[in-house]
Amino acid sequence: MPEPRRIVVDGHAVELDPRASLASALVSSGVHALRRSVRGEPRGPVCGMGSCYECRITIDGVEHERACLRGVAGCSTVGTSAETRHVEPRSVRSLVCDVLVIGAGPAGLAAAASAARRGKRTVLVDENEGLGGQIWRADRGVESERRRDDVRAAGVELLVGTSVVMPLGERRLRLAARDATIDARFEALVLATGATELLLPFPGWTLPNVFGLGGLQALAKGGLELAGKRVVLAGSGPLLLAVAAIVEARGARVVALAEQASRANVNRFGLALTTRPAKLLQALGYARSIAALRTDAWPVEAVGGERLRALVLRTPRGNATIGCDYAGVGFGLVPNGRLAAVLGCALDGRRVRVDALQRATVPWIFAAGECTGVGGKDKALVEGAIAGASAAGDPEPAQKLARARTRELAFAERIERAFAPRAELRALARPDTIVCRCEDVTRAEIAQPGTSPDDAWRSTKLQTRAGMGACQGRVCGPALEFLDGRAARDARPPLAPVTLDALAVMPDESR
Amino acid sequence: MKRALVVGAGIVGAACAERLARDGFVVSVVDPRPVGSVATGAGMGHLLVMDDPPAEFALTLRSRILWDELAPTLSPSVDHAACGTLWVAADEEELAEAERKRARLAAAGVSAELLDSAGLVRLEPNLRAGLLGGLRLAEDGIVYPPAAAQWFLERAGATGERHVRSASVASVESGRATLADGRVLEADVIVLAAGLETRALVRGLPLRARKGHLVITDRHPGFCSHEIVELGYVKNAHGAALESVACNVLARPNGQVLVGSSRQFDVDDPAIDPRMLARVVARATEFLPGLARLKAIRAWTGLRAATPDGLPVIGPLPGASGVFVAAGHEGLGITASTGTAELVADLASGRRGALDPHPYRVERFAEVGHA
Ligand SMILES: Cc1cc2nc3c(=O)[nH]c(=O)nc-3n(C[C@H](O)[C@H](O)[C@H](O)COP(=O)(O)OP(=O)(O)OC[C@H]3O[C@@H](n4cnc5c(N)ncnc54)[C@H](O)[C@@H]3O)c2cc1C
Ligand SMILES: Cc1cc2nc3c(=O)[nH]c(=O)nc-3n(C[C@H](O)[C@H](O)[C@H](O)COP(=O)(O)OP(=O)(O)OC[C@H]3O[C@@H](n4cnc5c(N)ncnc54)[C@H](O)[C@@H]3O)c2cc1C
Ligand code: FES
Repeated sequence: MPEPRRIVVDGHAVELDPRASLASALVSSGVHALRRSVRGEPRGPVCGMGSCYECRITIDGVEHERACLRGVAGCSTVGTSAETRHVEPRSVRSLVCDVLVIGAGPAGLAAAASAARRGKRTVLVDENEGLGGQIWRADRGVESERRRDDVRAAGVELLVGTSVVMPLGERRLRLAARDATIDARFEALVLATGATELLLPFPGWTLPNVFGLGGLQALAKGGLELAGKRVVLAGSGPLLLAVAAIVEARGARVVALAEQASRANVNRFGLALTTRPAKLLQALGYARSIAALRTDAWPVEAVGGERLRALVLRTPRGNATIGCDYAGVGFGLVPNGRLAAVLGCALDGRRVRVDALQRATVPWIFAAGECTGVGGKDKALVEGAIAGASAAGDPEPAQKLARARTRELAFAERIERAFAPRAELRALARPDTIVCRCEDVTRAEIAQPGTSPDDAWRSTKLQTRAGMGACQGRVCGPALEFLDGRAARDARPPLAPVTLDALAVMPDESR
Repeated sequence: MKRALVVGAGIVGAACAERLARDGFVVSVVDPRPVGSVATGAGMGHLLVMDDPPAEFALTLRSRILWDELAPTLSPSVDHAACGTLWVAADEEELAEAERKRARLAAAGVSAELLDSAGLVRLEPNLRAGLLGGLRLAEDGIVYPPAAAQWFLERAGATGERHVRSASVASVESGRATLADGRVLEADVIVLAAGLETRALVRGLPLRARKGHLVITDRHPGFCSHEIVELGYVKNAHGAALESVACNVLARPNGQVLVGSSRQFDVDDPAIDPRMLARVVARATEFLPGLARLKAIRAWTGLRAATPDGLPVIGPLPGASGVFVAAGHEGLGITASTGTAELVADLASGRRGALDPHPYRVERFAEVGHA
């Protein structure tokens, strides 16, 4: 490890790994609760990717910053309670380009390179400080490095650590970097905003050290120390095995691996993989964990006080209580169409609707990757290449890659069918289980919906305040949609919480 | 048994339902949308006494008294608290206005405290230096409006038979309302409390949309504790300018800060206009510079229902006996819901009550004809 960085946490100096994310480093150092909930419960990071808002903490005088999006190297003073300090307002600048790409995962990287190679001035934006999205965050593998190099070689301009704030009308968006408010004007927009995890409420799921499944993976990639830790992984989908492989590689012991889908479905999916050699190779890498996999098993309770001590699994042979340090629990992925929705694009369910050119229903907007439907990295790469070219006015890749795209879409459908969450999961939450983590709203407080799905979500929000907190329904929205059909699709600006100075700037009408 | 039908489950309709139920009516309510989800769901929830013009003073003061009477019975979800209003003066003219306000309030027996520059900063340390002073109405309050509407409806059910029907009323006449699907509901008393859309039910009712923008922050406990309003707000609210903004910042009991507000006539597109949002936030930040570093989590808009003379329309609908209008509350409908409900109930029962109904009567607008 390079020279540790000394930062002040709640008044005490702590030495942390400068390469780690702040969330990962704090948990590694024994700070499991980064904040207290509305009712005073301890809470720690969950998603590791900026969508759950459970890792909010005061960083260098700015309250409610997301620790998972910040590197230790960029922080000096951190506080788990509020602290008032003067902060310099952001500077203001404008940005003009041909193609603006939001999201630097596989889809966004492919799209940006594809547009820039066609001579378009291209800018790539991501909230994270690194390039690579969910799968390649902190990954230095051959493929991801090649994709990053492609983007640089093509002359793409990078704006990382930068969030989208709101639309400013046609072909214009406001962005917020840490030090600047940026009004961007462009000809075409590519949305490659990825997916978030489906996190379902069960008793104890709010305890610190119960992470999302992808959340644990993201925190591991962000430097969470795992050597010698006992880890339980539970939930659903191919991610279960991928995460097992990663945490094992980092020295953790996977003490249980529970897949809620049936053995038959998992086997059928395995069979499907054999028709796809690249995916099969990926799967073989997980062989060790596959042996440990229990199917038809799911978490029913997390036990602990200030943090997790054990996870109770329901298995075909009865309940099993498994002592552990960390748990990763996730039930699949949900396309992230928030920005698309705010821009007025039509969604099918939560998927951004696109045509063969990857064009959304708003003519200057294209979309690629998980936000158009969950299908993994290869789908994201193909769609990204098409979207970038289409945004640059070149329809040819859409024709050339049409077959590859169809194949990937079929694969995506198979995943969805094999790992669809089972009905029993709807009954996991008890009346006193918290469903909305931001506002601490329990299952009992959220009555059964009577009217249409949109109205049900609206009145749930208005009457219980579920979905009204910092995450704006990113976690409880998809959960309630699964639990009882509320349609939580009412994203509004700002798309990510920003300090108010970024809203106080007049958009320049003349630019 | 007398039956009442309330059209609209916003806070005004809900308060009317509750008050009529107390008079022994069996009340039903129709609304195609969730309770409190239109103007009521957009409002800040500030309960304030406006001392001018006299009819607005009478209505808001009576309403605040009624809110205070209800306070001990309100459910915790209504989040009722006496946060107080702090009117802030930026110049000599506004300071003089603060003094005039104090005198008007005192004449009606309402206590309000004049503050100098230092007193202001003592109460709200995040106000910028150099403000001249202000006026504090310590008894003004705050509620969470959609929960208040829900509470009123539940209470209406407690004393009668509760019905909230998910339906839209197409037309009304004496004793009956016709729904959009053709069904007919009969009632002895019908209250039209459909907010801005009351204009679709009462021909010629001169209601105009007046759009407002608000932003809410994450929890920042201790940032401010009052509803902080610049004295220039009154000019804006009562003025006829097509577009205006004023500093209007409210501390919710949970530590969230609500930042407003703007007024735009005749804009009924609910979309957020980044330009108006910028004006609202910039104006509020002039008074409270520290706002700049608070985290905004959501912005939204709402439509106020404005009348030509700035007063709500409350009273019997000419030509349709037993039909009452309760609408047009512009930016004061949360506050005035209780006083409005009392007035409607008094009129429906032929009682003389605390308020003189004359200034709010429907027929002050000559164009109004029965729908
Ligand atoms: C938690 C998680 C873990 C996963 N792990 C694996 C794995 O191990 N193996 C695997 O094969 N697949 C994994 N996946 C699936 C993975 O999403 C795809 O394989 C692939 O990464 C999809 O690429 P993408 O470009 O569509 O999206 P992503 O890689 O998710 O990239 C989206 C990017 O957009 C950014 N973004 C989103 N909204 C905004 C905004 N408003 N402003 C700025 N930036 C924004 C995000 O920060 C993110 O970097 C995972 C998915 C998730 C959600
Ligand atoms: C930004 C903003 C801030 C505000 N802040 C405050 C404040 O701090 N304090 C304050 O006192 N006031 C405030 N107000 C004003 C206040 O919100 C309104 O005056 C009040 O909510 C009006 O309530 P209402 O019941 O008349 O209307 P609404 O809440 O609009 O309710 C009307 C109901 O009627 C229903 N309806 C419509 N047509 C029909 C039909 N044909 N049949 C059946 N039902 C129908 C609608 O669906 C709706 O539910 C604010 C307003 C805005 C926009
Ligand atoms: S862990 Fe940081 S936002 Fe979820």
